[in-house]
Amino acid sequence: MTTPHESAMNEKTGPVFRSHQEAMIKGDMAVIDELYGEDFVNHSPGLPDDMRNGPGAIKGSYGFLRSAFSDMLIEHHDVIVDGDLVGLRWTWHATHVGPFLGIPPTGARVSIEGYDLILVRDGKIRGAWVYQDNLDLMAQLGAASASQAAAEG
Amino acid sequence: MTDLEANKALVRRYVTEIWNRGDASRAIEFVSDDVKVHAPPFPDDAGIDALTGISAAFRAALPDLAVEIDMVAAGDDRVMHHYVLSGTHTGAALFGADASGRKLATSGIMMFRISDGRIASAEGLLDGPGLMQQLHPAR
Repeated sequence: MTTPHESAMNEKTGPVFRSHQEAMIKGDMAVIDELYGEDFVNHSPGLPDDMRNGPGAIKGSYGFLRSAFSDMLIEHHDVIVDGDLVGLRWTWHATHVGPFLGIPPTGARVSIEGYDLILVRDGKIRGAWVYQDNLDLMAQLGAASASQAAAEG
Repeated sequence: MTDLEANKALVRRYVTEIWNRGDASRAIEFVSDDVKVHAPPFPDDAGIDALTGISAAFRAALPDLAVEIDMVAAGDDRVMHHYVLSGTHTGAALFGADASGRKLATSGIMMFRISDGRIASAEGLLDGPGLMQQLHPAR
């Protein structure tokens, strides 16, 4: 999905947009090594230790996400570039097709909002702070799971 | 001072006075009367009381509350920042958890829109699951 801000792709936003579109959505994990520095650290809350450091951490995170969700879209509503920081406000849409944190696949279409601050230096992503509405996501999956269980009796 | 720097200073003032000092007496100087507030899990709301009500709820629960901004980005009429919030749960209940005497810490990102020199909207997310786990460790 192309959002209005994709046209504003530049040295700072380019690696961030490409990470979302090419790696997370399309599954081209090879671009991760091009887009992320070896010194990359994911500072986002709630991640296991093996999803913190280096490009491999992002491959692990995206791989996990892609095992549970398909047909992902991300809308970038606001894009701020200030020095080495890229700020984003987004909505992510996806279909729940695989086990996710103990919830079996429900087939539900889910949408959650989030905010990122991404550190981009010398053309590569060096740090990420991602906050998404996980309480809302679990509520959407829990509700879908409950209604599916009821339907199956 | 450029507009972007002025906008960053405005948001810093909001955090200092409202969050860290608990003084909403001059909020009208830097927050719009009809400010839109979107900060799940709090319900969407509008108005200065809605905005200051969130910090008041945290301050009532964590009387030694401190909010530290560690990253700021500004562009156009927007300011985004990352913060770390900490305090000791010795006061009122918070998200259904009674005071435990424990130190709590969480973090989040907020985004503000500035209009006519005041905050016109404030929205963002904090680490909800992490905070709930600290408040309700037995669950």
